[in-house]
Amino acid sequence: MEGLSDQELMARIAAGDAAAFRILSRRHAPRALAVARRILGSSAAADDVVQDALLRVWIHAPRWRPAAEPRTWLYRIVVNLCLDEKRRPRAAPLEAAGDVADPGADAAANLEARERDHLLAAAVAALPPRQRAAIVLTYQEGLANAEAAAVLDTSVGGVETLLVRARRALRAALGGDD
Amino acid sequence: MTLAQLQRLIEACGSAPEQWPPGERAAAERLLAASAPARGLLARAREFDRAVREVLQAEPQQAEVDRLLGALARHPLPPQHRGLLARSWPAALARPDFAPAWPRIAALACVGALGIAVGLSNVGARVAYDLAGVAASEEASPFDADAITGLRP
Repeated sequence: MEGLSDQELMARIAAGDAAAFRILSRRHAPRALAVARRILGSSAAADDVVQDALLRVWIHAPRWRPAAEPRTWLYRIVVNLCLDEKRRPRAAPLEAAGDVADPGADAAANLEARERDHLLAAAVAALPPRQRAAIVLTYQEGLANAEAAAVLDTSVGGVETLLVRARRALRAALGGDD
Repeated sequence: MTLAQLQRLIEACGSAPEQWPPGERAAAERLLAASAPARGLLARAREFDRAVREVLQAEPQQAEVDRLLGALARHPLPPQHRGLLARSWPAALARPDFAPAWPRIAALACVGALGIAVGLSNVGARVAYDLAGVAASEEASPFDADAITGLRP
């Protein structure tokens, strides 16, 4: 069953196949977790969100229609849960800046690059949640604007507006003005 | 395309030309071929995109993913939400797939529409009237002479 496509797995999940659900979860949980962590800036909250999102995929699978891409559907649930989580009033998590990628041995010697990375990571963490989600989906997940629009439940123009604002904010945080 | 329009395009769609809408891409590439400031703008945008991508590339550890999936597997899966039809009807009836039957359904609908049109157009009544006229004329002279012999019964 490992060789089945996402669409085929979803068809089985819709029929109540738990094994297919486990395979689909294993296939997409890592990326879903990465998206949730970056949007939420918290590992524990991201774990909860992804678990919740996967369970929702299972619960609502009978309503899934083959026209929808399962990965896009999962991302949409994850992003919506993250945005709901961000709307809840609470103290800002200590790890809100998120994790900075290990710059490696070469970059470790380059303090300027490390400082820039920290600035960027902090600026991404400080973006409004929907702008951050658009940036994460575009840069981290490599989604085209049309796919990001489907995940964020908006138009391509809406995603472009989010990205324009987010990129300007990130450039401003880096001290760039172009 | 102006430099400002190119900047807006890059901010909206990124620095990779393959992500640009085809119509704008052609105009942007003409500007890039002709303008050194435009090429500088694109080079800075590429550097920016690369930096953002690097910062966002952190992957969750496999152990963290395993922990998440383990937590998911520890509890039984909740019941799936199915519609009322799906709960009370056999699955095949609750999830009908009409796709293969669409041509036949369309043909049946056409026949039905044709029947309604004929009914409304009064053609049937006219045919019935004509037949009644023929019958009446036949009844008026039931003992016409035989066309060949001229004899009457």
